[in-house]
Amino acid sequence: MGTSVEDNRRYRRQVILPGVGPMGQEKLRRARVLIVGMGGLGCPAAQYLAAAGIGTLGLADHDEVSPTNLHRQILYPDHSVGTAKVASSARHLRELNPSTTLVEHKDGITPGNAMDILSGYDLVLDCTDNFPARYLLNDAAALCRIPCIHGSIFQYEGQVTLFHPAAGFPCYRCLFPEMPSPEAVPNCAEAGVFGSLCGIIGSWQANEAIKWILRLGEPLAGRLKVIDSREGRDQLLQLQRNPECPLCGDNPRITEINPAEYRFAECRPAEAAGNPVDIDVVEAAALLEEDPSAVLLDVREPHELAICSIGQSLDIPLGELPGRVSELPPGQRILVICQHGHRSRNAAIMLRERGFANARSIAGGIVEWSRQIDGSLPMY
Amino acid sequence: MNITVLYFAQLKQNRGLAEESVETDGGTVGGLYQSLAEQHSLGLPIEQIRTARNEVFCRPETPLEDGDIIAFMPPMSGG
Ligand SMILES: [Zn+2]
Repeated sequence: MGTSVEDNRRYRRQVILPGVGPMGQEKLRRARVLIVGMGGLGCPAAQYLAAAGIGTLGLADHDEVSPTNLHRQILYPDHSVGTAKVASSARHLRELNPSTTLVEHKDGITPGNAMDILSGYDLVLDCTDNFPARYLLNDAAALCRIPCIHGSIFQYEGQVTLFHPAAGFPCYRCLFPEMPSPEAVPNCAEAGVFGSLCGIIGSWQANEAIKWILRLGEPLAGRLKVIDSREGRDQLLQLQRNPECPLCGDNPRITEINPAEYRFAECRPAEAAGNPVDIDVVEAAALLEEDPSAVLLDVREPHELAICSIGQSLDIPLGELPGRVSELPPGQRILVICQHGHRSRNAAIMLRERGFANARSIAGGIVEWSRQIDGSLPMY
Repeated sequence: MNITVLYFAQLKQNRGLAEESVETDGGTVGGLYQSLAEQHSLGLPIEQIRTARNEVFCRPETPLEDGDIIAFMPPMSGG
């Protein structure tokens, strides 16, 4: 564990700050903070919180470190690929500050455990990367009456705010009342993410957490901070509590955690029996050869197409597809492809809902295509 | 009247710019979004975004006034 620095030297430069002092340091030591999502946002947030002397730090994530995480998830060394994020990050945070108690929640947060886990903490940081988790955390934090510090990222842009209905501040559902459909909004894997921006937003989350515990300054509550790291522009947008909010409004619909609330619609009417959405790559390749009228629709982004593509495809990024469905020939077979088969599945389901009954998604995407059909495709 | 429009996240990507100045005869914040969404194939229906007028989140039925700065924001989930 190395040499242990005594606390009054470790925190000296922090304790002398106006607004902190020995009492403030003691508040930090007694604080219990939960970080959900040990990814791009969770890594920097955890480091600053541990270093500042937060007494109990909970880390929740069910995921393992993957090679595509490393450019932004800065707690994970090269050799940690394949290990559990929670275990790997706890090891490093323990070295950073041995006096912080680290609690490892290896299953992540689920509808089944959310209330139990959150009720053991004073505040929670939403560092997750998907909508079901974000809505679940927002709801569970509000029901536990603790603040939820929200950070999220899209490419070069990030946002941060503090939700806390029990203190009269708005919640995530005051902003976006219901979970968007999966085809509406791409995630990091699909859209790309600027690594150092995660450091900026994750650090803001840690900053807000420490401020909240110390009752220092003005919390980012009722205010959404938006940072555009590419253009160097910030915006601070005012948000009011919404009396019609389904969670914290005057007549709330959500009064407990119901698992059905946090699932993307997995089995939609569009997925009729006998006409499955997914098609495997071998079958798809054969079909494209047999049926010259079949359309191969590639819904990846232009920067991904530049790396590799399968010939003769119609290229429409998923985000543009709703506005460009008129470019697709009605009545033909449409085989949709993306990198791993997730975006293409959402696209195929959306197309079926718009009347393209023969839209199907190539399972495993171009990655699987390169494994089984054409090994010469460069992968990413 | 002249309106400054700010696009966030995916809308910025779909529009290909972060900010533009538009001339309009008036109407509402939501109406402005709908005409821009149609004109530029922004891809997201009004129900899936939030609108802000002069740095305050507002309802789509809020009337426009000359010189307004109107922001259109979809939810973002990355982390
Ligand atoms: Zn609310």
